[in-house]
Amino acid sequence: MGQPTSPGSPYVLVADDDALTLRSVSIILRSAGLRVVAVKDGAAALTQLRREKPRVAVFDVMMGSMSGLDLCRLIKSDDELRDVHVILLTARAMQRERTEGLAAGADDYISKPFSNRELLSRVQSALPAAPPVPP
Amino acid sequence: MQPLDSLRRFRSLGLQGRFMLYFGIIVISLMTSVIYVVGTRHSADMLELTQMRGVAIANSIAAGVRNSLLSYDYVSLQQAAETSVQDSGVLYVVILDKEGRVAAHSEQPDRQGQRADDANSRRILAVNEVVIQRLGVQPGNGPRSPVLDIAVPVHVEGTPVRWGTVRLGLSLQPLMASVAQTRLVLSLLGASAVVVVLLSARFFSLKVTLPLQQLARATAAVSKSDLDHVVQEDLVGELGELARSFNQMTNDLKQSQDAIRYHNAHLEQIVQQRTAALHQKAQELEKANKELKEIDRLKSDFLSNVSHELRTPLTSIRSFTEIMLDDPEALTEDERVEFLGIIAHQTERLTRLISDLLDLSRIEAGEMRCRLLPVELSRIIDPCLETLRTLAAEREIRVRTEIDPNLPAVLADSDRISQVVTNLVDNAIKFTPPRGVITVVARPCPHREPEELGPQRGGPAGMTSISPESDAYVLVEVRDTGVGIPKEHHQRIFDKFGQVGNVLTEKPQGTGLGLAISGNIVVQHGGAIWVESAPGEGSIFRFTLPVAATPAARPAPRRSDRPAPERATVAETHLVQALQRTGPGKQVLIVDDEPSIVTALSELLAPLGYTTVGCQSGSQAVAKARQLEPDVIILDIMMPEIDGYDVLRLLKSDPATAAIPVIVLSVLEDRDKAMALGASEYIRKPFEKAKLIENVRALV
Repeated sequence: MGQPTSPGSPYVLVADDDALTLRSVSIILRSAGLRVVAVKDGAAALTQLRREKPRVAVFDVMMGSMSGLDLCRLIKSDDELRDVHVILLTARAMQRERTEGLAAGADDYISKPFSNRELLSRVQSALPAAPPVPP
Repeated sequence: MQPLDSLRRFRSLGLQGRFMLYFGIIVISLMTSVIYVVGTRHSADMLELTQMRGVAIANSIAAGVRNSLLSYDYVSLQQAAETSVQDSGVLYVVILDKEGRVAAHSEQPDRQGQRADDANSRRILAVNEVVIQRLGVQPGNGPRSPVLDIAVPVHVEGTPVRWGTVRLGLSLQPLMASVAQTRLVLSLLGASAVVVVLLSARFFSLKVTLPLQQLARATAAVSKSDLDHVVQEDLVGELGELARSFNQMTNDLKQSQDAIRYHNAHLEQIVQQRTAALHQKAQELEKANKELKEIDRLKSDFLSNVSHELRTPLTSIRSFTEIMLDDPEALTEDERVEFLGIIAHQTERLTRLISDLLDLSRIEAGEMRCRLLPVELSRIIDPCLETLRTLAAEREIRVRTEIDPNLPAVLADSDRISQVVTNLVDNAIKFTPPRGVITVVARPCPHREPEELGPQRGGPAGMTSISPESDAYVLVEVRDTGVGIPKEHHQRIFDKFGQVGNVLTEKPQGTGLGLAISGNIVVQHGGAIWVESAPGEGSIFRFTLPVAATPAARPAPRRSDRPAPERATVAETHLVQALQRTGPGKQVLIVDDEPSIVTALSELLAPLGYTTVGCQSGSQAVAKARQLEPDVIILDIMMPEIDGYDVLRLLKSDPATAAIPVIVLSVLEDRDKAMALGASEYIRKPFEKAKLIENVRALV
């Protein structure tokens, strides 16, 4: 499953402390030919952000010590990283929480449980310059 | 300016001053008029007396000198004149002849023969009668003095023929003196009368004005709120009355003022009390508001947690289902099996959560009921541990048991206690790091609660409705080598919303419902639950259950010697047990309007040696039951036309079918109603196969 991807090409950073979600999101995105780096917490996400700037970041909101909201704020206040398209993926689906997420500067907000196609299309729409997926 | 000043001075006079002024004026004018009238009268009387005396003297002289006049005897006349002057008060005597010449003159004899030619004399001589004149005469060089001049004509005897005139002057000095004296006396009397009157006026005015002044002072004092001022009451007449009514008035005023003061104080007190009460109410309200807000916050957090907990397994289920549906060919066989396993596991997690939530809502509504039967604890603990060993093994955690072989049976609802044990062990696994050890201990215990600690957990009084049948208990202990719990959280973790930790940053380990539900279940059993723990030292959860008076109805075979399957699930474990014990050939009637359920149940039960008959409507079910008299009926509730409750009623009212045990299998949450109608067991959909099989087996 998934297409081979080369390092250096535009990639999607996924962070979620729920191993199953991390796994399914990775499978979904990779199956569409995207390069995915999956990490299991905020600290690891931060390290990866510093190492290589992603096109799109899909963050869970509740993750141990550093939440997706924190990561989002950090990205949006950093001149280097500002244009990373941040999608918050969360089980916290109340209106108040959505507002909180958008206030933190998130570009998109997807509630769990999500439709795989929807997730994929939202990620892809944030990648206009992404190379077409070879059949 | 002067009269104005006087007026002003008069106006400024007090009552007493005016009183005296008026009296003075009245008395003085009265006395003056008396003096005037009396003086005048006196002076007139005196004058008249003097005149009468003068006329008498003149007449006597005239009588004496008539002959001498007739005879012109001047010497005798002169002599008579001079003699007459010697009478007291007579200043002079002049005798005139019939021609008006001076015949004799007591004072100026040399004027004899001279004609009396002055105005006075002419007036006298003009009339032939007595003439009386008042003259001012200056005899010699002495001071002029008033003189009464009397002239009497001398007539010839028996005829009115005038033969001469006697004229004499009487001094009015004595008269004047007398009148003056009288006036003086009168004036003195008047003056003294004035003084006396003024004095008495003053006295009487004082009699009036002093009390008036006193009253005025009292009034002034009263007006300045000094009500203790009392005026003398021993005053005369109206003043006394006035003083008495004044005192009465001040007294009344004082009383009403006291009353007002009392009412004021009372009012003030009431106001203070009300204010205090209001203040307290406000504080209570504020507190209540705070509590409500806290509850609201907890509920909101709770809801947030529940939402999260529901969505997480759903996410995996949906995601992996879609992955498998999208492109099944792209997946390897291993991946397919693994993904299906994930889906099954997450479904189970979701089911557990929903059942926890429903348990909680039952507890909230006070509808949690336990069916207590004598049961051996090992029969509860062992299956629970079998189920959890897989999870423990994944985390490299060893689970040990120390169950007293002589443990008495307890009075318990096996399902509920199984729930408690599973929850406690599950928690222990979650919070214990790899290579830890979890020990489950069960031993007899004389007390319900730890004596040295006091009750750690006591449900609301209404919930401990079941009184223990004996005072001996069984203590169950779940010990772990995990992270431990700070003391301040020991109480809170048993609370419904008592999830420890910040919702935003920490993933909740479950919804925090497990311990609340467990605590409630234990309390309902008449036991107690508590925790002993410190951070870094692991935790010991303990609970007690009352010992049953009678031994367990069906002693369970000891299975501890049987090796546990490596990756046994609940269903598998129970299936094995069920297979071991089921007698073949028993008939099961399955009633459900959903064909797939009937099929699934048949496929589940048939391999175990049961004969199954399915039907898809209530009426059909009742007919089949009468016809077949099955060993057990599995009944759905929500069916068109005749629903499960009606079927149950019909079955239980017919002697032919009343004895057939009925297992209700429904998505509804209404165990009590079904049990009340005579159901033997109630299982919720989605159901655990093992549980269903267990129940079928137990009932046939």
